[in-house]
Amino acid sequence: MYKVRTHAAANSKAKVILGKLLKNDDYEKLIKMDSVEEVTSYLKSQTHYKNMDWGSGDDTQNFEVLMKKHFFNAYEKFFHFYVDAYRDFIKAMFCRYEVENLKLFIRALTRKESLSNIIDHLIYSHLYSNIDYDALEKVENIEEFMDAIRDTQYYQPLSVFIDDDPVQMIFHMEMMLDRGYFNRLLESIRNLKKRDRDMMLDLLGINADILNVQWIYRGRRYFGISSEELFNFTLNSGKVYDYKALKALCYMELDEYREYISKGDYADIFRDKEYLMERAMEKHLYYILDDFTKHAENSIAWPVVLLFKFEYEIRDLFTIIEAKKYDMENIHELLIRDLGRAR
Amino acid sequence: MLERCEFVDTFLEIDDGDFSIGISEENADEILDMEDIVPHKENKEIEQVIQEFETTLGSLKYTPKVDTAHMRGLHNFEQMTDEVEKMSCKFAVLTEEVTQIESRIKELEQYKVLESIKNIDIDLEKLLNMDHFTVKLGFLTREKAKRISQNYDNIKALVLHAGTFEEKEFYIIVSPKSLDVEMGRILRSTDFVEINLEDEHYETPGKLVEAIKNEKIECENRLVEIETMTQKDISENSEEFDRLYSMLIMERKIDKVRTKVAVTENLAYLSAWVPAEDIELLHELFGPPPQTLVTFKKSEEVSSRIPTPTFLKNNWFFKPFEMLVNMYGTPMHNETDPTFFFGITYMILFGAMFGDLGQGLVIVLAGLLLRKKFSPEFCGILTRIGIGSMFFGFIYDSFFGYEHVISRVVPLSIYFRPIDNINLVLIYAIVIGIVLVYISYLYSIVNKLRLRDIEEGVFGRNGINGLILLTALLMLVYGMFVGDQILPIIVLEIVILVSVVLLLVKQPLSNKLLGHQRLIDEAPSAYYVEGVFNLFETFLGMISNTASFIRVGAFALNHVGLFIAFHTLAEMIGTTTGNIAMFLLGNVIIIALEGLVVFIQGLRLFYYELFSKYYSGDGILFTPDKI
Repeated sequence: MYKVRTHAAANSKAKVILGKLLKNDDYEKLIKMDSVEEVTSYLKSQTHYKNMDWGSGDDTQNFEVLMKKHFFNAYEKFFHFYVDAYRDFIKAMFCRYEVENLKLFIRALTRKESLSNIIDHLIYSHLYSNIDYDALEKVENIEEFMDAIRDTQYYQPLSVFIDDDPVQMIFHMEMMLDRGYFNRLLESIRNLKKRDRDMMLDLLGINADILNVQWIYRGRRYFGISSEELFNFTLNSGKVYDYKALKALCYMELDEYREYISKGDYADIFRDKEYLMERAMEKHLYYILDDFTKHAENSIAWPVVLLFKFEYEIRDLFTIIEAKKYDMENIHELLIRDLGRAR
Repeated sequence: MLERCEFVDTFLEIDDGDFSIGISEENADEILDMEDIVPHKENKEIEQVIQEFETTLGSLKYTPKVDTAHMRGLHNFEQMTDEVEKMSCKFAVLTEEVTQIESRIKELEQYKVLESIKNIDIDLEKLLNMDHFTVKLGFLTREKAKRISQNYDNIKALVLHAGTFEEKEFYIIVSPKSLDVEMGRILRSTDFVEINLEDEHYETPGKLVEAIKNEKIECENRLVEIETMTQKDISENSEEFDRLYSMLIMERKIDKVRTKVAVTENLAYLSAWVPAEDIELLHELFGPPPQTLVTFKKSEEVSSRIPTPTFLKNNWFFKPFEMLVNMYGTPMHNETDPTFFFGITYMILFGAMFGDLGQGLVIVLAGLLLRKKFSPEFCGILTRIGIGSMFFGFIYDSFFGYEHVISRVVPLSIYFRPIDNINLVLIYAIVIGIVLVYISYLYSIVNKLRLRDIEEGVFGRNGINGLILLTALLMLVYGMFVGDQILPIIVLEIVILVSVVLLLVKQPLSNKLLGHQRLIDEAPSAYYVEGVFNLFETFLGMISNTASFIRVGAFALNHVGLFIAFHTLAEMIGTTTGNIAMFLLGNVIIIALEGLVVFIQGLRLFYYELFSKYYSGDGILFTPDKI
């Protein structure tokens, strides 16, 4: 009975929005278009984005912000559909965007880039924010940044790395932020009802695996982090790779490592070119999503899958808009979805 | 004067392309200057000074009181900084010592964990200063400790679990000196928190634990000693502390306002909402142009992104009632402020429902006495509705529930006891209701016509048409019950029919009159179906809105009834003590419980029956920046 009571409304909502998301046809059409204006006018007239508040601005940056806002609106709806442990779970998922925002700041600050680019793009939910963004926008270096987040849960874990050299610091801090997010999410999942909990642990496990695979690779290849350190940093909620496997992975040579992964469940991550690794990870996640909703009537899976897909959709649309702006050719391979792939 | 300005972030206006200072010859310099405009930066020093002062006061264990009385007069931030500087110098030695002792106590707390190794009979000094091995003591989280044990075969160190201390695991780690750097990194990745014993004088753990215990006790004693010593200083300086602290807090608030100011190299720009009547005063205050330039825009000219706040202006008597009106919603700035109407009628309704000279007096006194401690607005309301209650209590001839007491003292022929005139009370209640509903119709019509809303104002159910319909209906009902026809039934029926038809076609009709192309905003079928349902609601609403006021009479009766119940109880007890106890209990319950119920019922009548007709309450309150 709890299933219907907790999920019926949110699931119907999720299914309606899922049905409205763009189809492969739409993407094919969009890719063939010649200009950004054509793309946006198509979105405005033929897709579910016609319902969003388009404002009056015309530049592409503005579209990005508006679309993200549109996305967050959908997100917040689910927050209101749920109570107690489930609401906390949705809230924990919001935490990811906060972590991503902080990462943007750290990267820009260590690379001494201007913050104005980030600030224009920052989108966060007012329902979930521990961070004083006003203070963040004014920081000028990493020390001030740390001051601005002093009262948040992020301060302590990050403060250890403040004296690192910048390159290693980025890696360490990003890893700590992701870990923080994962632990928060894991905690909130543990309070869900058994069926939902199992499903979400499964999804989180895959996520953790992918992140571990990526961290070990990046840590070894680009940052020269020692095996022991890497092992200490890995997430221990993985689905396929338990601590023994992770330990083995941490101590492998890079070639051996790549080969090992390429034989396993996450082979697709190394199939593409190296700079597309992040994209490949998202691709992997995108294509397992449908498995979660298959036999999951009235469960948390529907809203979660929707939110993932919705986010991937707007990211693909941003890619297309950017590509049109700079006249890039290889749009197909930059998208998260494979337009040729049947599903 | 400036206490009547609500400052607007100047940049909000500039960003809107809406910031204008009027283009004329003499403004040319200002306009040229505008391209380098930036927001005024906040003064970070203020926060620092406040913090410094708070540390000083903290070490004296003194919590300053903020008092607005200290904020008057001239002030100068530099002077304040100097004073704070002097203060902290004066107590510097003391502050220093207190901070030191406090941090030392914290440190010592941590060393408690050494208890778990106190039976090891080894000189720690030797242990920690070996030539070829590094020994570290510290804490690990359980999760990370597990991680290390999982990878123990690859870590070139001895990791010994020595004890548990408040959720944290205490570990001793021994590794070769040559691997210090590597171990350092590994430990960092495990969030290892080291206990640093370098500055301690140590022999064996057992002795160290003993020494630490003693030192802690000493520290705490010293703190107590300092506290008694500073008592005198505090009482001597407390006024000075309060004054300085209040001024600093004010400075902080002023600075908040300053950030709304935009500045260029030579000039500062700020915008604010001010009540229209203060324009002259502002001109005088700022003086003639060259030095300052003041321009005014009417609310209609301001960008729609900056909503116009509503300045509520009521005299002292009605001011408290603004609170209850704002609870429903602040009037829009072009809407009639209902506070005056609300105040008078709320007093009447409350009084009529809770009419008692004695109990009303208690409410008045409660309002007056609690004013200082409790929300002054709410107490203001209490006082006023208490007066209403006293007035009706006099007429009802009711004093603390006892009737015929007042009439015996002041024999007049005006007394009207509800319980003796039950039907009349209920009829009067409905009459009051009808009068109030009529007034709210008038408000509604005026408000709507002011907004040029013909559809609702003329043809709508809360417009002129609704008023006519209600009148006709009331005459019909009056005729049916009293048998005394004011107008022939046929005329009334025609009036009702016409107004029903008008209600149905109000939108196309008004659009036609205004010359709009499109007559109906939605599909015609949807509009008419909705219209029919609206008709039902209109008729139901008219009956229930009016009948709803019966409760005024019902509560007037109920009030007497409740007391009769207590009176009966008292008679059943039969003793004098019992009588007095029942009298007190009854009055307390009636004032607290029935008072609350009547308070809410009165509000309910307004919010549902009256406000919903004519009052939108979508405005924003004008909140002057106060310091």
